[in-house]
Amino acid sequence: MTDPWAWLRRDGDEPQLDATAHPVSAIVLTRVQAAVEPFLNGQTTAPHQILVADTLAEGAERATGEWLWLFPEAVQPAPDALQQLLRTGAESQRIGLIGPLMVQSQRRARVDLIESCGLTLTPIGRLVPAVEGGEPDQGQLSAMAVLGVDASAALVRRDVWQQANGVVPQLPSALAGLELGRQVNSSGRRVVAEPAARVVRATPAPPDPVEQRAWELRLASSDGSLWTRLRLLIGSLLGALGFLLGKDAARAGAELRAIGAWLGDREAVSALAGREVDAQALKGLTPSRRELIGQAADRAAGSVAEAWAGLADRGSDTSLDELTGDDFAAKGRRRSLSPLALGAYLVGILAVVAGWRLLGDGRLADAGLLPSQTSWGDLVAAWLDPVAGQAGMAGPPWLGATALAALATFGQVEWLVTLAFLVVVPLAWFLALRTLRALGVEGPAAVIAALGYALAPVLTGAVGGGWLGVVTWAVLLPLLAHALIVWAERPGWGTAGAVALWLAFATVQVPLAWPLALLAMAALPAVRSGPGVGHWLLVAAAGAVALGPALIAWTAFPGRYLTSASPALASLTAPDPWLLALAHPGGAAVAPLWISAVVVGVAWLAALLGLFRRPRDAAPGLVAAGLGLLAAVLLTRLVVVVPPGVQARPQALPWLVLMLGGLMLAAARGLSGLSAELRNRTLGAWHAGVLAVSALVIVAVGIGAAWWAWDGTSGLRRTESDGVPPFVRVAMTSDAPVRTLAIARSSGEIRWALLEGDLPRLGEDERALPGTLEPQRALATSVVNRLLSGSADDQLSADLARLGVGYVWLRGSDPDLRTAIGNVPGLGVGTGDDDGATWPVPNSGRAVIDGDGVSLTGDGRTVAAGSATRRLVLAEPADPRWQADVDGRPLAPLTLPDGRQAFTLGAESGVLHLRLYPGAPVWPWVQLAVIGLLAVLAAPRVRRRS
Amino acid sequence: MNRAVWPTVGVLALAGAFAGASVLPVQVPFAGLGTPDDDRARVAVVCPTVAGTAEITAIAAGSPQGSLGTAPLARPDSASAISGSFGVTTQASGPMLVTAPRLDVFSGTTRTAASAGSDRGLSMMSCDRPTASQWFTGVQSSKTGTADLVLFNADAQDASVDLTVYGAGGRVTAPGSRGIIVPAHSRRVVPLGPLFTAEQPVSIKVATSAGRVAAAVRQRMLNGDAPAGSDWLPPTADPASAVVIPGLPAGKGVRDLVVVNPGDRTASVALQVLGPDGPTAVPGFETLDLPPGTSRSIPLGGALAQTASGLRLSSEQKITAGVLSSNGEGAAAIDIATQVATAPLTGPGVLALSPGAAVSPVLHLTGGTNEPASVRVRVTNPGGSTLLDRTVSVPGFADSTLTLPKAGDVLVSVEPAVAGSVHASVYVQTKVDAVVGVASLAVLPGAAAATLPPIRQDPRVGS
Repeated sequence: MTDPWAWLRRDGDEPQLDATAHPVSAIVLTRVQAAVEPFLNGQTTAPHQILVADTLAEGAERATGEWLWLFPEAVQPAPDALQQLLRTGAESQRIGLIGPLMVQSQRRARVDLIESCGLTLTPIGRLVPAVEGGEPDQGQLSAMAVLGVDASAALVRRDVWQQANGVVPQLPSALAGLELGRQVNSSGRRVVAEPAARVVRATPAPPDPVEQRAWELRLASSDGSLWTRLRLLIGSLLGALGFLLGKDAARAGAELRAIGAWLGDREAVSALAGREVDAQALKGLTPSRRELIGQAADRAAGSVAEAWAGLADRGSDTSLDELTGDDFAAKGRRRSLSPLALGAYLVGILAVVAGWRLLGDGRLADAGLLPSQTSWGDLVAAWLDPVAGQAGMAGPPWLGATALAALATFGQVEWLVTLAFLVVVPLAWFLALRTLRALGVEGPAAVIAALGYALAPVLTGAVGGGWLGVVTWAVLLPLLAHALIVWAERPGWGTAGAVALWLAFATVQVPLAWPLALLAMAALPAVRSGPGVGHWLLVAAAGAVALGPALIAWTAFPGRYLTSASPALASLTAPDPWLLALAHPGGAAVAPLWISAVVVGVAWLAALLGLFRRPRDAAPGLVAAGLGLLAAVLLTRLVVVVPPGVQARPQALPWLVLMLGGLMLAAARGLSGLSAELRNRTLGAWHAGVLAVSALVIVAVGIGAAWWAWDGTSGLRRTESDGVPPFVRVAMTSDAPVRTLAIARSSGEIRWALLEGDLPRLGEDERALPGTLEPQRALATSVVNRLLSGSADDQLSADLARLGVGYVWLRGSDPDLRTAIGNVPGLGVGTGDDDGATWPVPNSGRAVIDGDGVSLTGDGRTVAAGSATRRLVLAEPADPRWQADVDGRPLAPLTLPDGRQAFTLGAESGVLHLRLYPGAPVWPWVQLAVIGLLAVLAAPRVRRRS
Repeated sequence: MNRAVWPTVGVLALAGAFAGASVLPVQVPFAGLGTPDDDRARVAVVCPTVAGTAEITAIAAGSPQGSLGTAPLARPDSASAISGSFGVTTQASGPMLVTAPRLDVFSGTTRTAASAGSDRGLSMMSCDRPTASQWFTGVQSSKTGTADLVLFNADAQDASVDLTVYGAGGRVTAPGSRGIIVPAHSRRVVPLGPLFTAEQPVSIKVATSAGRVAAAVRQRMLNGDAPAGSDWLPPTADPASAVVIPGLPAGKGVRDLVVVNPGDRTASVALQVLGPDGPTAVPGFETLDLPPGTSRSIPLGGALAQTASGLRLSSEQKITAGVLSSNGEGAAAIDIATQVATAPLTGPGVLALSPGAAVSPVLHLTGGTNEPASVRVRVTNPGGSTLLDRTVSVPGFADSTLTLPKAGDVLVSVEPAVAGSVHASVYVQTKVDAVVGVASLAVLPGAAAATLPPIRQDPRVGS
């Protein structure tokens, strides 16, 4: 009877291969003959000749077969390896080179690990497997076209070999095969990796990394293009940096030495002479940038998932499988939603709800947040540019940290600012969770306590008020705490480097964090270990370097050491101490009092319960909370002078964040394990009490979280900075710029500012904005008072000119103020509508030529010839660093009696150049280097590929 | 040892530290940086004098800080300083400016007393600051009274003034009331008779289209052709949904309330008499309906004769009001006074009072809110001696009177404990030969700067 299923077997059967029709010459190098020959003899399809030679080229000379099977190294081909390779090769005449699946044998496992199945090159010339290595070989791969293959056990047509002139003998085996593959692909033939042909690399002997990498670079740059060489150089340098960050100094050194070898040994390139290939022919065989990014993202996601799993499983029991299984034993987890996952989902959803309203056009702004700079360069300039009239003063150091962080958002400062307010709660939650788990707090308690902490910047109004520094501090605090915990457990330069790194960033936001962290380190036993003092000194130095020149410059305004970022924008009203105990410092963006009372009140209660339950565990948290509360109360009692000489009341916000962090730590550690204790007790009052406390905590934190999503970010708004009329903006940014005296009347107060350029931007409130530095400040305040009180004296317009004010702009339609301003003698005719009114101030600008009348000028403007008595007058504080020249001829500086900077212009004519000489920017590089060093110390070790 | 001991100690230590920190004094911003000013930032009030009369006008100026100056309106550069906290100028040949640093509490008042003639009687008023808009109620330009609008331009640029007259029948046509030019540093008297006449008292809005002016109405009453008293009508408060008129004296005489509704809708005005015991209604005048753009006079003499009081008018529409009162004497001794709606004291208020003779002025304190208010009253003489220093409690929506010590020139200081809770005025009665001269002077927020809210630098302006 005919088998009805015969068709199925017939289709599944592999086609019979007539080996005699495809004679194969195996070429084995003499030095590996003993290791390889037994495997050649055991092939199901035997090669028709085995040639032993000193070089592959020599062997190829003697070969007579259609195919050459190459063995430059000791490998162990599977018995059917040649059969599989040959079957693939026989499929098409276009196939010129076939490579096997290279695997590495595992000692205990029944499957081997894939080493490579075909090879390719990355854009920076690095040799990588065509498929991800390290996976167990379970027959999941299929034959594919590749750029090249490992020369070991590769099968190549003899004619193709001859056409390609063999392989380059100097190249390591894998690279030689890849180079041969390039030649083959370039000639129109195909290179195929056949995973059915398995070859075991029994004793992997990696080539010298310097030599390997140098040859990679030579190969990748063989087209001779300067651009390619530059790209390879930058890529390799970045690669070395990456290895350095991963604390793989050996690989970083090898990379650098390889660069040196590549660039230094010009003769080595000659080995590749005449082997250039057409890059177009190889298109599609090298990974695209998109694929590389995808792979990197996959790896990152894998790392995150791994870290998350580690976070969730910490402290859980180890299964028998894990103890006895091999590398691939699974744990067999129950498919239930863990508290951590539930918390992550919840926080994620709430973050989306809370954050959607932050997205839109324009720039985020609020009480504590000036609009961000339009470019990264502007941000750096705001950090580094000197301040006229204030020797040693520049932008605040936290602008430097912001500029560094903005690199992660491709230099888009606004993206960074928006991202900060979007992710602060989820990020603070995750980092606090990690810290609590590191302290052994059980999962549910850690999830809730971490959320309670993460809500601190929301409840206190730091998020809604736009206090970027406090938001950053809320993220850095758990990082710093975690680093301290790890250092206390495992004192070392790496762990101390992590403390120093996070403290450096925290110090620029809250300078008092520096001494407090040093005190905390000094109190830990780890400091008394051998190098503990060295660690302590490293951390101390990190804080000093982070502050940089500001550490000295702020001695003129010591109050700045007590404040956080942008202190001049903070309210001068002192909050009630009792409200501070409830993390309710007042202000528009703070949570309603009842919500603060519920969340923080319950936090205090839980912390105190924890203290009495487990005093030793909860005490550190409560000490931190007490410290935060006392700092908040004491500091907000003060009024201090901060740069550039304005009064400010230190904010309570960072200390309230610390207080809430301490409370949550005390509560979590003190109450952790409470539910486990119930198992040993009979149902009764203890159960009811625990249930009540748990419910209370969950409800309180839930209320806080709900408010965050509902209204926590509503204080932030987006602005296009278009309040000032366009023609005024144009005048402010022209090549003969003017300032604008902007006045706005709102309920209960009149606010004013001297605007210049592109309006005040992020952090510039800590620089000397116009009208904030003596003698301008006294003059500006006098002018504003006189202008608004209607004194209308004849000196007003002259004083406005001394301030460089070209326009007076009044927002709103207040008739009395309009009249008061309009009455000022010397002002031009006002124009405006219900939104505001503008009055021009004739002959007034930031730089004017005084002598033949008054004319406006500026940097880059051409100055016409005039009388010898002319002066160039700047509406800027006098400073010896001011420099001016006309067509390169320096002008003699003058200081006017009213404190303005001037220059003797005389009859000069030409192009005027003006600048405030900044000096040599040494410190930023020192800071960058130290941060880089600390990052290297703190970074986790990179995993070597096996 | 009980394991609760150390936690208890720790908690107590924290509580103690917190309590200790909480009682530490709160540092306040120091003025040197917080509220900078300089001596050029002076402000001025304009004190009117009666034009074209031989009667002597006395101008008093007072300030607890004592940095006062005076200057003729026409020559602001020729200012002279007043030594001390109080000064009286009797040599004024024309309107005077009283100046003080912007943040100082100060007052200027004007007094003219005549026993005969068209300006017969006692005329006093608190000098006011130039503004862009002012309101006058109770202006009589008829057979029973003539009125001059006096405009003062203290600035260096000409001002252009427009008048809008509201009568019982609506807006009154007044040819020549638009575009009245007041040259810089000058006074311009605008007789209202040629512009309009109306049987009923009218209300006038004085607004500038360019510049700003101080203004007052010189009101002269007639009994047939005979003078029947005169006074300055000071500006009343700007229209609002609720206005308070403090300082209506007790006794006989007319009390003509004039209310104006400048809006486009009929205003239903609730009238409350704020007596010593709180608010009461006037039978028949509980609610007044004012058509849009009209001014109406309501005689309240009978209802208000019994006791000193204030008035509170409230409406869903913006309205303002004033009272024209008389001393109730016969033709030979009659004089008039005006009480106007005032802004509540947003800070300390002072009044430089120079009645020309030793009198016992009456201070009226009227609660403008439902909450009781506490007011500190100090009376000092030009030498700085304190004649009275008392804290007065003013019930909510009620009028309290305080008879001040009998004296000549005094500086009256009124300082409410809560800003915005009290309106104040001083009523003066003195004999001017046979005439029983009466006058009411509003106590204005003392510092000219108090008319502006706090000023502060803020880099966020413009963002």
